[in-house]
Amino acid sequence: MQLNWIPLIAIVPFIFSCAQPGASLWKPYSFNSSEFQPATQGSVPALWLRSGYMPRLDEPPRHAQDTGRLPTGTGSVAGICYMQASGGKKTDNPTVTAYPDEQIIIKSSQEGISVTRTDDAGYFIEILFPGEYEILCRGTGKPVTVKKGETTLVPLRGGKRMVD
Amino acid sequence: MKKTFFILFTLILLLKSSLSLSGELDNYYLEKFGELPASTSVTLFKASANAIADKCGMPLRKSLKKDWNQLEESTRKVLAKQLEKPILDYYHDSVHFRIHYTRTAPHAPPLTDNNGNTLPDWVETVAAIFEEVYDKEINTFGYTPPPTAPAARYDVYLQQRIVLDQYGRETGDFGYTESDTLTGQSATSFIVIDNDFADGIYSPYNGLTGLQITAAHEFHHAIQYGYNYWFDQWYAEATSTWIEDEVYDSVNQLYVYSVKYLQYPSLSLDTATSLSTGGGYGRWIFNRALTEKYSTTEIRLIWERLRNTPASGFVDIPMLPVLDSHFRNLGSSVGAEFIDFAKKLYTKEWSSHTSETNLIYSTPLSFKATFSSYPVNQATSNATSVTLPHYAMAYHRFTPSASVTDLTISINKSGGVQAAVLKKSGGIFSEIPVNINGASFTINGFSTLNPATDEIVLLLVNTSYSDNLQANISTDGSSPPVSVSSGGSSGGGCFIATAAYGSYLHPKVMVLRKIRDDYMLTNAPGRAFVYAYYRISPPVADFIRQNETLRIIVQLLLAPVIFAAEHLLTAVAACVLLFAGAFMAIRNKPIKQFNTETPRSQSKNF
Repeated sequence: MQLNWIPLIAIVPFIFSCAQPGASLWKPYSFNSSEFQPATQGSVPALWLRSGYMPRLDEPPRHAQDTGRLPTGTGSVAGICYMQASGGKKTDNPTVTAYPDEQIIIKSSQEGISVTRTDDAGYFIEILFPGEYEILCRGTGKPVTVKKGETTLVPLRGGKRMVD
Repeated sequence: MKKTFFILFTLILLLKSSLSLSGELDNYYLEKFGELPASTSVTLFKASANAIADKCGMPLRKSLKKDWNQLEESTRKVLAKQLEKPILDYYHDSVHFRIHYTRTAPHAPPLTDNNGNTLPDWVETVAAIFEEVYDKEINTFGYTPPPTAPAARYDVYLQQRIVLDQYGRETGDFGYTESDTLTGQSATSFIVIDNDFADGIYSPYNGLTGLQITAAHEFHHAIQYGYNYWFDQWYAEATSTWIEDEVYDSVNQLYVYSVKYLQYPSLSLDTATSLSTGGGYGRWIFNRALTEKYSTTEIRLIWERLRNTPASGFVDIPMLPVLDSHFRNLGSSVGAEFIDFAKKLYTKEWSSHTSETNLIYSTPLSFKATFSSYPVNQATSNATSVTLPHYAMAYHRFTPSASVTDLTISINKSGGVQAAVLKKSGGIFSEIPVNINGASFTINGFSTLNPATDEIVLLLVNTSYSDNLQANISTDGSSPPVSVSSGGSSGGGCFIATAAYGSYLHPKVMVLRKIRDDYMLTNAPGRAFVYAYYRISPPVADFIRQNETLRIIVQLLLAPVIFAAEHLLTAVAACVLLFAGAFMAIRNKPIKQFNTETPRSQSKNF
């Protein structure tokens, strides 16, 4: 009987012990209908951020040496383009509806203009050089400062619905 | 053999043309919806696709819906947003509106056609009501029509807006108005309303009345999007609700919403739209007070001021400073108007829609306390201490007592709180002047008033942008001073700077508030200064606010402080340089004096 697998018993916990610190460096953020904030227990994270890494829209890998580092000398923006609904004479029902596949315009006096699109859930991620930008969605936007190795979160209200 | 070849050839041709058409359609729709640069399109396929659209005789979005399955997945992803508006098969054009509807459930309106013109009568009614609303809001009240695509009518969609929730209860809305294309600060929009207003949830505003108030309400939102997309939502709802009764006076649904405001007067005027607080909708009554003092036109002028107010940083423009700016041009202020409104809420002296006044008070105005035994002080009632958020009010009632000949109400209050005392005697209201000390009111002959019908009401109103401002009252002069922190770190209170810069939201004022919060309120001497400042600054601020030259002078005086706060390092460096320069100058001074008496060569050695 071969017992080659026995060392695995020791290796597996070792791998997990290495993986945990890496995973804990990723910070989950959720979108609360107007801004991003650190995800609390029970809320569904929308984005995962880690200094020096590209932001992720899914849960980060559970190992320390994961790929996805930001290219040297860059930072990133991650955000959502959404329609905000307020009001309601029958029920208080403020809601947010994401704009999927929506054009996002990124303007910079130094880098010029570039364009990206939101994904099916209305989110977008873009790697940018550090500096000042204006990011727009459906004609509205906001000024954003991109810092080297960091991700700036950008909620963009692209539309407004007055219910009732 | 020939036959087989012919069939195969035909199939290949059909397949090819189908594939070709699919590509053309993709390009056609992508270009039509602005997702494809025009230079990449080819005239040939444009002509072909136009023919398709013309043949179908349907608007572009409807044909997009029809051709949806023929499009590439990538194209569908890009164009998905175009289907956000309801896709309905039919439309009826009136002069200014295109009413979209369908003949199939669940969105079909009543399809009865009594006049036999092939149009459902209800659709014609919807068009007629919207035209009526247009005539009133545009032609009579003078609002600018909402923007549309060039030469297009304004789109109104009829859709079943009510669904059953998980418990089988009806839930939904009357309708909505949604922004479409933003150009500058003005946005096009479209309206979606219920298909028939027949569901029980609308009761008692079913059918025509539901349609009337919804059309009046939503169409004003359309106007608002045109004036300034960055409108503040509470005031948008307040105005849309207010105008319902101006256009259709007999429906009166708006009184349902002002009840909450009367229940909770100590919530801010600009409370976010909510049924539970009366925020937004319930604030329509403030507009009525304004129109009774000025005219119906005043509300339009307020919106015109908002139209000319630039948005800053792609966020909605807070309405209170806009209102303040508007009324200052009339020699008043939003604070003064708010006090008048608060008085009117109590006195019920409404001069318009008088037959509906009882509807305003279907739930009585809420009082913080009613006092009938005296003295009143902190020992006898905890209602003698009031904390108010910005632009909020509180009412105290004093019932006459035979044991109190003259009643004196003493008030210690934060700077932003205004007080007024009203006497109701024999059904007549009069205002009691403040005593010479500025901190108390005396009601002579209090004991002679009729306890059954007469009363004294103290009105406390926070007319500032600061939250948590306090007022302490008593009838024996024992009211304690308000706490130092009152109005402190809650986001307001820089009265003089606010007066100088015109708005508490001005970036420079925000810098000063940060200095106060971070550097002044964190230590005892700082807190003492802030306390003293709050005691003396409101009247000074009022004086500055009314004098343009003074405002500029104060701005200039504050500039070094703000600059130092904004550019800390530069300021420190400048100070260091300044001190170094001064030090050198002082050090050099005796040398120069010495030089006057000493040969140059010696001074070097010295």
